[in-house]
Amino acid sequence: MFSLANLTRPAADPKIIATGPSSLPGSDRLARGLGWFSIGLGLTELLAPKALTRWLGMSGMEGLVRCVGVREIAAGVLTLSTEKRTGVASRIFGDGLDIAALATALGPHNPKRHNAGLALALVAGVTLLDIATSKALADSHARREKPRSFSDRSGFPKGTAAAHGAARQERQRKSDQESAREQPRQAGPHPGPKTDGPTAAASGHPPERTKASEQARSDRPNGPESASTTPTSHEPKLYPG
Amino acid sequence: MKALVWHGKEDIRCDSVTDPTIEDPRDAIIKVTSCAICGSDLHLFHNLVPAMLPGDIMGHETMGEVVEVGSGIGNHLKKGDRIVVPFTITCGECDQCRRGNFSVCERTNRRKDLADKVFGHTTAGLFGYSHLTGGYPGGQAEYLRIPFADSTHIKVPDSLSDEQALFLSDILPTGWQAAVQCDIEPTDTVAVWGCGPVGQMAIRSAILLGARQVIAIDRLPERLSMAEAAGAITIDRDQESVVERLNELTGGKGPEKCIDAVGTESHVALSLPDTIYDRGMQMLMMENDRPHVLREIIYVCRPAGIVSVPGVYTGLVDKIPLGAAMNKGLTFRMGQTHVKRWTDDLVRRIEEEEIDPSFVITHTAGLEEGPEMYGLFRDKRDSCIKVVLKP
Repeated sequence: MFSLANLTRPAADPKIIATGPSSLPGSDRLARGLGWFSIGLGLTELLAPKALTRWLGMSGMEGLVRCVGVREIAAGVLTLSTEKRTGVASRIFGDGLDIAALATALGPHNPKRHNAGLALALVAGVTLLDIATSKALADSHARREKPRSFSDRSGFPKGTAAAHGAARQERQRKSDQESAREQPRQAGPHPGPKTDGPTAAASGHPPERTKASEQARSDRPNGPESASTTPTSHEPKLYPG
Repeated sequence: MKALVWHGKEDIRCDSVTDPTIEDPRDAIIKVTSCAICGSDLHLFHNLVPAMLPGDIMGHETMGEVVEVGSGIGNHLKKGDRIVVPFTITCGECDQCRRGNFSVCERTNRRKDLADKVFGHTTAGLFGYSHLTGGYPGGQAEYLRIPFADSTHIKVPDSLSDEQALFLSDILPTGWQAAVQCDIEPTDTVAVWGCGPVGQMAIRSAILLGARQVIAIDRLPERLSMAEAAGAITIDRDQESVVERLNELTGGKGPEKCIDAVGTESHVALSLPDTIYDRGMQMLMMENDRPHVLREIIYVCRPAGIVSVPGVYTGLVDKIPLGAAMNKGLTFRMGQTHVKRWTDDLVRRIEEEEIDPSFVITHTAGLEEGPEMYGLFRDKRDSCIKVVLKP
């Protein structure tokens, strides 16, 4: 198995020498086995229903056996997926239906009732295994512990108040310093505050604003409606569609 | 050496493997001091990312000490340097790298042929993230070979601990990029779907960038408590309607900026019929991803708003209401993170104590416990949010 995995590696990549324990717990391995069993049984029921019905003394019920086969395959696929608990639950439901169907074949009218009884015993055994697997899956994957509270983990060593807008303020300071340095060099009329034009928006970087526009924004009442709908002279222009 | 190796769906093992060797003059090898399990590693764990092969070494959040350098590294790195490894491998020379689009580096994907066929054009090579992105061995190991190491590294100041620096490799710049590409205004409401590690970083980045209010959406109390600690308003999707609550918090208009930090594996619940549909389609191999969050965002986002997608999607999705997105004039920004575009700035912010990303670590374990930690993280047992492994 290792050699197969190692064959796919480029020459200088690490190759497996020895393998360790798997992340798959025992319950998952069991579920995986049941999933493959389901698919195997389902394919048999789908492809050879006559042989089965003859053996069980249930001739004429091939359509029902084919339906059961489809159900088994679906349950198998579900059990092999990450939704294995739902898959095993669907198997238990299917086991119940199978037991009910086989029970009808136990009457004295059926010359193959001993075969039906054997099948019933097998289904009952598999049902117990399904129930045990379902319980084991619940135990190994359940969130049993009470959720912890991480309300002391802000991630902001200087506190949340200092953090709010810190990066924006810093950009603002830099922008102001740049403006101050550039102003004496300006020969023409004052260029006015920067606005968030399409270039800034498209750059992937947050647009920078002047102190004046920030002030205008922070002066607004702090409600969701007023914040978003009160226009000021510093708002970006609205473009018709 | 020991390494966490992918053997199949939900089957990761701590194997003994051969040590990596220098293959190219631009290679370097590090002794890994810390590595982490990423939420997107769970997509590989669940075999949702195409082109994983048994024997692939996992891990793309790694840091360590340089123990060997190739002859072409020059003065960029030397033995003993302490570095964080960005999860995107970058040449630093191609057209995309020169533009700062590091995650779509044109040269580093050694399975360019495969990526060209699947994506149309290649993207960068990634560590431990399937053969679509080069099939490079990952960093959940004792040693890691870094290709293009002269460009693919972040030097770490001694003042920062491993726990503070490690997340420069992925989740911190990913959350930061998600917020930056929202073009956050001081009047904005930013809603973040998913309070896993990337969501937590996006929440904090949106706060640092001055959003008026940040709303965090999840269903797990421990994650919501962590989001609340940063100052976010929280919505427990198991307890209340996300759409109704978002509209209530935004005067009926919806959030201007929406961040999808969930990606391909939306939680499946009976109360969300589309997630059951998606799960069925996934099983029938008629869809790769479960895009419930994307649908919800398109529906609730304010017209002319921005949708930022740091969450990983892997392939084809179904039933996306593109008509609503188009008519509402939404802008979509997404992509793997251009890690190196942001890291100089972020290193400084950590040093200046503006942010300390170590807040997100809930579990620390040895590499041998890695397989068990994958299960714990996937099942969210013991309130697990982020696992750091110490080889």
